[in-house]
Amino acid sequence: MGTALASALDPLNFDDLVARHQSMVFSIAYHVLQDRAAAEELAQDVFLQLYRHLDSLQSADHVTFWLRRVTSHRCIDRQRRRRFPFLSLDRIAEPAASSSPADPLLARRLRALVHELPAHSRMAVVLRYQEDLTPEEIARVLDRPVATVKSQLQRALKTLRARMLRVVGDRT
Amino acid sequence: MNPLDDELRRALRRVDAPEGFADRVRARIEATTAVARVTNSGWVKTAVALAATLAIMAGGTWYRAEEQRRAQGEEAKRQVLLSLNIAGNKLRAIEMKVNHREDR
Repeated sequence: MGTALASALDPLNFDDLVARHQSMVFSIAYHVLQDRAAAEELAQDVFLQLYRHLDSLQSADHVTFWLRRVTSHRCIDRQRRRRFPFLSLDRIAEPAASSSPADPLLARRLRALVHELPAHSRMAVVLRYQEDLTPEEIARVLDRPVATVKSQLQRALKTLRARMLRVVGDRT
Repeated sequence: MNPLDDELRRALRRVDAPEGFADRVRARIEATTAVARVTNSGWVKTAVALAATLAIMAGGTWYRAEEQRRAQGEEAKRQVLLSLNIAGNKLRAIEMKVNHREDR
């Protein structure tokens, strides 16, 4: 959606909110769950909940914060309730040649590695790199201490770096 | 900037929601609202109240019948014990008479 169109939308009209935020909500769910159908179902549930709580939300910023928070908590709850199939590195195709900066295979491999992180770390990584949130903002969204989020991010990056080195060689 | 940061930003960039997503959300909201409307409508409330009344009446009738059966059982038990008591007294009287004659 273009920025001009997004800014022309009514900040608290439900249909406009869906149009404005569907990509954000779906992407958070998709990057955490790595399953399009499950991500769509979860995103629909989030918007249904938004519809019921719309009266309690005061501003566009409040809606964005609320959506990130509810989506994140639902993702974590869903992973607690259901064990998703472990995505082994063996199931991911090897890159055909040396990787270019926007290598889709490398991105796919990296998403698979993110999927192997523990639930809370994965959530923090998605919010950090998809939504570009600071550790302080992530801590508010996830209701966790800032120090915990910082340490989860550091550990996650260390793990990802080590696994990437093992998988594609020393290019990161 | 760390190269891994760049790669992560690329790998985790936002993706479009599936085609027709907003329509499906709207459809689910309308379905949910329709169910709520039916649940809250006058005739459903009346039917629920009627069913609850009938259930309470049926429960009351069953309870009264059970109470009556229990009282009848208690009465029968009391009469059996009374009969046994009378028979016991008579047997004791006869025994005393027999013993008295044998003593003479």
